[in-house]
Amino acid sequence: MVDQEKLQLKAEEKTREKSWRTISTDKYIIAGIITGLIFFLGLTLGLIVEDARYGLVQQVNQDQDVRYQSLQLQYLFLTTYNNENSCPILATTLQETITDLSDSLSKVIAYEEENKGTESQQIAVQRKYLLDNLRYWLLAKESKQKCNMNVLPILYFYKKSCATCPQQGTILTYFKDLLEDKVLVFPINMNLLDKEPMVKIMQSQFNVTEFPTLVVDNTKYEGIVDKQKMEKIICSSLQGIPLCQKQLQ
Amino acid sequence: MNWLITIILWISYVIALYFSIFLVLVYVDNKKVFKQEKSTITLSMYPFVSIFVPAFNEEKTIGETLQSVDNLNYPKERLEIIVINDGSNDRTAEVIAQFINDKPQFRCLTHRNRGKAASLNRALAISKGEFFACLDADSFVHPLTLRKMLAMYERENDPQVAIITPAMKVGNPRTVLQRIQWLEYLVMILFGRITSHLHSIYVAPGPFSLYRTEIIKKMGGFDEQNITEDQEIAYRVQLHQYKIRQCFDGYVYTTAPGKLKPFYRQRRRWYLGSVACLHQYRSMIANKKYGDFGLMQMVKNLTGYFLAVAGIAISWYYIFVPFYQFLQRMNAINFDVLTVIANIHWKITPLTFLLTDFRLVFILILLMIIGFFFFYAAHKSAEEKITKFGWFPIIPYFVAYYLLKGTILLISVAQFSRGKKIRW
Repeated sequence: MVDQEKLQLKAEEKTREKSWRTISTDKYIIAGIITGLIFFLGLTLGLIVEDARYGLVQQVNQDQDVRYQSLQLQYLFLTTYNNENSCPILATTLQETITDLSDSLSKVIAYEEENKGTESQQIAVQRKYLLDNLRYWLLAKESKQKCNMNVLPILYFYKKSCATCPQQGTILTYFKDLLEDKVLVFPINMNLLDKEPMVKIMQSQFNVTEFPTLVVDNTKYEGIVDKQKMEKIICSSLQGIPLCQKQLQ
Repeated sequence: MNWLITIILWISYVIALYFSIFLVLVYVDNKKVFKQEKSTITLSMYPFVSIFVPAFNEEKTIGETLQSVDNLNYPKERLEIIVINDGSNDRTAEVIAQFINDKPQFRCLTHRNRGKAASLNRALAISKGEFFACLDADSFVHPLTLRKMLAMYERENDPQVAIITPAMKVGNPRTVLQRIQWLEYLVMILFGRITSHLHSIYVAPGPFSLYRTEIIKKMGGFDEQNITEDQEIAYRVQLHQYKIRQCFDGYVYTTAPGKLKPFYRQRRRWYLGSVACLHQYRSMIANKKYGDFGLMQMVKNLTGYFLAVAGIAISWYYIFVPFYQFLQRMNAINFDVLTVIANIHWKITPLTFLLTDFRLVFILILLMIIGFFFFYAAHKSAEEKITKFGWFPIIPYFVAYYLLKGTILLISVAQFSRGKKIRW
């Protein structure tokens, strides 16, 4: 383009500049106000929900405590009166409680980890979950002997940094689902080694050095136990499982 | 990393919400205007109009395109149609020659392949029309559109109006992808109406935008370096403080890509072109001199691309990584997925919602509501039924389409930054 034409174009622009362009100032402001209102409404709602969540977490913890007390009493009753008729009740309560523990408390832990819970809060919840698991494990072992229960308690040592642990977890959950809670899994979070003395006691008891490590009926399995191997272990310890009978044929 | 993602997500949501609310306000405030707006086809004068049809290997559609031009409701002696055969190596030349054989208002230029912008410039140099329109050889114009547009020029009666853009629809959509685009184009028509009201149109679609010849010639014609000359010319017209208006019911029908690969190529060109335009005309961003165009549209376009890239990268991160982990875990149980599904606890308890972030969900729901609102308004404005093609295309339109477009944007930008040359 010739320079002269360019200049002419520029001059024309100047005369046109302010003549027709609109600025919807009012709408920019109103949109800003509405956005702000929505934002703060969202924040307030968030706070209310947060409050409700805190109550929920408290309630989960309380429920667990009551259930544990009930279980403990059932066991005490059983050993005192040597009345094995109450064994089935104990067995069902135990299974239900453990399923519930893994369902609700694991969600609480995920929530604390994801969200704003402070580190000490997170560790407190994790410790509580670990201790609950340990005492149920002890109770399950004892009740199994006492009542001759057809259940298989499995101790599962894992660590956050361990790459194959999620797979091991899936395999365990899979069999737990498949066998309708005859398999009882008690996860032990080894990241709590410095925070919870019980973890140290468990570590030295079973001499855990690798992850994942499973302890099934006092036998230790180091490294990932795959689906086939898990099936064999389960079938050698539990009776009357349709899955295992199929294999025998 | 986690807090960075959270902050980016929040900023994107708030900005998206702000502009959506702004557009809703403009729409609601001018609802009466939009309702009463009527196109007329009565003209007091019949200005001479040139129509350019650039064609490169379009043997399948060029015949129909030329037929639609021939069917235009306008005196033939006031029309001049210049077909440009841009070095086609299929039967395009034959089809053109056969069609224009007995029609004196048609003529054909042939040169070796030089691109669309160069073809248009060559036609522009010899054209005699007071106005000119371009029509891509894969598009078809409605017989009344030219009259409606000229009537609009007449009604506006303003020599500063440089372009009138059409209302573009997808012609004869067959595949699901085309039907999704059909929905998208309808919504685009509504946004065109709203932005036309704010003098903020930033693209003059290739199919049948009607230009004032004098102004475009003065500005030096089309930019032959740009891969999206239809966006570049609109930005340039805005820069020179000329007006662009939309003729909301001046319909043209364009062929939308029916398969994923051509769709990807088309969008890649659009997105990279618009990034280039945005960079080239960055002086208008947030510039008061350009009114709502500078303050709203330019800022919206800029943040739009930035946020799309950030948002899509993040959502892929949220989808891909968990999906990979899921596969790994399913592999551990030999993909016995049925057992897993059978044992999912469908019971919804308060604990189910423990992990949902209600604040983000709240804003997302509001954005969705605004999306539905414009979707509904767009159909009403174009007088089309929402379920014209059933409910089926609507679901992917709302659920997966933006993810697809965003992904294409990401890949294009990645390819571009690795220095891969993009051709037309």
